[in-house]
Amino acid sequence: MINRKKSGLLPPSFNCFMIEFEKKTLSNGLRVIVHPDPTSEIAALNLVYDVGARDEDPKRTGFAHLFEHLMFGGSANIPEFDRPLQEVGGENNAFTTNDITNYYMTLPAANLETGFWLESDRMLNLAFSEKSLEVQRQVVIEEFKQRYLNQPYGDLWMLLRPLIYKQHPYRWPTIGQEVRHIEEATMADVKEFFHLHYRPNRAVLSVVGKVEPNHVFELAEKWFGPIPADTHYQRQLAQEPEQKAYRRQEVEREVPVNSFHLAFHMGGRNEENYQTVDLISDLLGRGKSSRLYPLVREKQLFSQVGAFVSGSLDPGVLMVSGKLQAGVAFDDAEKAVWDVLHELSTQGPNDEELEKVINKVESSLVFAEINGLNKAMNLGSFELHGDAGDINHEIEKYRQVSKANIQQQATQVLRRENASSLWYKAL
Amino acid sequence: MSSVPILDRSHAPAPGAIANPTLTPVQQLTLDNGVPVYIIEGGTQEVTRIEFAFEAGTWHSNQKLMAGTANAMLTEGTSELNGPELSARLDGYGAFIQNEASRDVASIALYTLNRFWQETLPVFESMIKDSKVPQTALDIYLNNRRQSHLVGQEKVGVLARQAFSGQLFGEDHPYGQQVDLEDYDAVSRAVVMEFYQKRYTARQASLFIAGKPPKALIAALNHHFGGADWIGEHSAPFEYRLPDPQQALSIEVNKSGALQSAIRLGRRLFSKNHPDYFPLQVTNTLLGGYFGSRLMTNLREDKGLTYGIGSSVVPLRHSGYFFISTEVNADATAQALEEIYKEIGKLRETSPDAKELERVKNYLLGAFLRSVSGPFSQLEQLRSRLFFDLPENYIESFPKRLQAVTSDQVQEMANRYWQEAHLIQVVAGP
Repeated sequence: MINRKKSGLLPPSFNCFMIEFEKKTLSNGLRVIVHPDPTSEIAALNLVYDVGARDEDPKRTGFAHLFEHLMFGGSANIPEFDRPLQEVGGENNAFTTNDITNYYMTLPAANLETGFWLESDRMLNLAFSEKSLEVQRQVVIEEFKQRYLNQPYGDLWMLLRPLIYKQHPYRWPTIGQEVRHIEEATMADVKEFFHLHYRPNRAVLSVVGKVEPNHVFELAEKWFGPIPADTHYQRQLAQEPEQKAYRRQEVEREVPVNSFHLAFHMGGRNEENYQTVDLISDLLGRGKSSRLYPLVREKQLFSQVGAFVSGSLDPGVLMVSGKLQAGVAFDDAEKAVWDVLHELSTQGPNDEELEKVINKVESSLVFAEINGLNKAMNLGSFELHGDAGDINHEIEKYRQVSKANIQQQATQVLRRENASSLWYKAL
Repeated sequence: MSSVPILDRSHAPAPGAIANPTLTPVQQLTLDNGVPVYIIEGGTQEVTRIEFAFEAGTWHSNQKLMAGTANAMLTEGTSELNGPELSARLDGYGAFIQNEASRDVASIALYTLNRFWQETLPVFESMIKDSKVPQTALDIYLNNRRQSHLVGQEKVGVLARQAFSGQLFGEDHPYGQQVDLEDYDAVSRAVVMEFYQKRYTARQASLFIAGKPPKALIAALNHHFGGADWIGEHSAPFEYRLPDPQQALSIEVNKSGALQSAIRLGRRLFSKNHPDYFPLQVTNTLLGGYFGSRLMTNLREDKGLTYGIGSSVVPLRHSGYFFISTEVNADATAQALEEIYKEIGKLRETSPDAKELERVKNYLLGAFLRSVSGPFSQLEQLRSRLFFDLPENYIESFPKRLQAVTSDQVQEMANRYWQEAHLIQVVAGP
């Protein structure tokens, strides 16, 4: 995920807990979700578009994200996006992932209509100003340098993605494969991208806060209703063939500490075993009571180590990552990780351990629901990729995972032929 | 069917009246040993956040790294449980710990589901009252800090920040302290224990609770935290000398091979209870404190020189500072500096027009609403008010204080505090 203004503001988590909402689909296909929360004077308005870096042309990578920047460069009837929102006490940002582009704002509930006016106008049409393209191109190039090229380990995912994915467009990062692709983007590309992807039938609008659902639906009809749908885009992505052999890449960089990464292919976010594999990553590497932590504490091979899943819509990855202690050989570190993985595959988890990681998932869901903007984003994501109502079944899916499921999936996923290892060496 | 009026998309809908927020009243009590407790009840979830603040920041130690280390060690072992066991215990009940030490204060918070508070609170209690600072965990922690330190030294932004704060406060002052690799070697278990035993005591503590705490939990606070067992000793206040007010100075930090330069520019100022703090904060927002600010509009949105630029007025308990920071293409450093000084100059020479100031005020009013939305956020505001010793109505009077700031006052602030003769400039880059 990369963010227009600053990084790491709010991850696009899918976490939530019982949330009541109302839903309406406009005749142009725009889906509108409302979750009234009378306790919140601040309303959150989220608009997620079904387009991400995976939809890019391999010769024009980084485009979905560059385009996200251009969405703030003025629209058909409104020369500047940010200013009118600031004038009514609002704040906004956006982020792009390999799967989606998400625009969000929070503003006093009394000024909700300003949000509808702004968001609908840029869905209707952009101003396509040459100046905006030139400036944002430079901004994105500086972002590229600041976050990926001028940082220790900044190029990590630029190395990992093409190691893990050989065919699927997840092989390039959201920022783009190379600066040149951003330099070469033309206004014609910009227009084509907009008309193909930024249509009401490819978006979900969600609103949370002190609002009346019927009022929100009226506003949606008024401002978004007249925008025509378009059904030209058919997503046809190259699928990743099954990995047949273990991969390893070794690189040397000017960094202070050796860094180790081991990635495994797994299913996509909506696939049956997603929750099971997510729990496997928690068992392995979430916190100090996880199975990998003894490699830090007792064996002293790593200074830190963890595991997580990418959570992407198309088949994703389970990743084990760690920083090596000084003087430890990569071979020894990797072997120790494999021992931990094998132990889980062959013996499975114990009851207490499984209960622990499921409880932790549940409480994360509950705590995440405190934030209205989080709720709006999660409702939008779930609706875009299936049904907003699924948000309320998420915890059940985790609760249903058994020890046998864990062991079976661990055996299936944590295989050597399914692994890509990156040794990122300090020079 | 009635005809639909043609939609006017070129004008903004009429703004609604932004209601002043109703703040939840704060419940206050004192434990038997004198620890003050502040409670803000609210929210929709059955969860509670219980947070201790201790007078245990960088300010409270003469040895570098002590505040952060002692704070981090709280979760690493008690006489009954080691770090992984503590973690497993809390994870099992879906609880979270959040702890951090800053320059002025250190804190540790427990986030717990209400149905498990009886299981989680004793674990939290033991972390605070019975920390054993195990040698293994200390070694791991210091090793990680050494590694992060080395990584930080590769980042131009970090290098610029270090040089800047060292210059502003002096390297002997806790606010300006510079950490070197050998400082990590000087941290021993014995000194961490000593600091912990002095600073993590009831006398140094305040307790903050937000969410929907069960009545029984509140009733149990005295049992867990109100005793004389951890009352601690009185301690003499710490005194440090700040360097004399500074004249303009330009510092360059070389980082060969860097693609970008980090710029940091500013000066030492004052704490939050200074009468100019608030109008200066508004002035700063206009200059570089939000996305529509003059610096962002000029350097990013007009010239594309940077991914981002911002400025802040930062209050500390015993001082404060103003700074602008950005990272730009190394070749564009001179141009960026020129534009930054130009923007500051413009603010000194001309008062902003009413429309721009109005926009800044509206933005800040919205930000204020967000900052008091929900019990957890309100508690943050309360903590800040108490910490900076501000009047009781400080939070709710925000809209009124904001309204009172005038264009002339903005210009006056810029003239009073942003003269080039007083600004320290740091550039870290190739």
